[in-house]
Amino acid sequence: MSQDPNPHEALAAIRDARSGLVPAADYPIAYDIAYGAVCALLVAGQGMPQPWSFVVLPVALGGLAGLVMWWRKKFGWWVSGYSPKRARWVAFGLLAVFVGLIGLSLYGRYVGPWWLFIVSGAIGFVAAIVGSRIWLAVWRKELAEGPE
Amino acid sequence: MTPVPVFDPVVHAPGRLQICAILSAADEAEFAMMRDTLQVSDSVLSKHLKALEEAGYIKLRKAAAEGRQRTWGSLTAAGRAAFASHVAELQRLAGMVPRA
Repeated sequence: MSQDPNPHEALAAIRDARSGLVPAADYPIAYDIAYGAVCALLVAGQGMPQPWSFVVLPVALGGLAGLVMWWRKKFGWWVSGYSPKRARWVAFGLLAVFVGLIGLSLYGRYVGPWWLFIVSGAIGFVAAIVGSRIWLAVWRKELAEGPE
Repeated sequence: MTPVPVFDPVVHAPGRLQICAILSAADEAEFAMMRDTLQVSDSVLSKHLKALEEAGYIKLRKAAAEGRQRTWGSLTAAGRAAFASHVAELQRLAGMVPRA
């Protein structure tokens, strides 16, 4: 790019710089599994009998912090799920699913059946993986389509 | 809200434009990642970061990792607004100038 780029060159340079953010080879499947497991623990933990509901929460939050640290170290950047203009709606959708699943876990704990937390955890595991992959696809499209 | 198109010479310099592009798409980016993406030397990147920091467009912070200090940068609200206005101006101009 020249030192005084014309508008087309400048807009192309913005797109080029952003393409470096999206890992070409994607992140490993182990990250998906770990993220799914953390989310499963977060939603299922609320329905577990005492003292497990208290034990599981810090473990899940610690796991989440570990995943963020791993990502920052590997890629050298971080973006919150709620920051991008369009992809954030996927994150809000996923959050709504998790809130519903936490409700399901609590229902099982106070009303029954007791094993509902296993169901909500399993759904949370799958929803987290599918949701994060959808989020990534939407974010990639958002970056590719425009420099706004 | 649609940004008002404003040409910003601080943002427009090629290296700084790309730094803002990266930081506007992410919440935070590390020095080495920006250097490698832009394919510039440490000193060139430092110079651009300093110019953006002095304009109040970015915030830099140091964080220790594996016994080393690493520099992370993020856009400030003013930087985000300036970049959005500059991009709006580029798009306006691009609509007037035919592709080479």
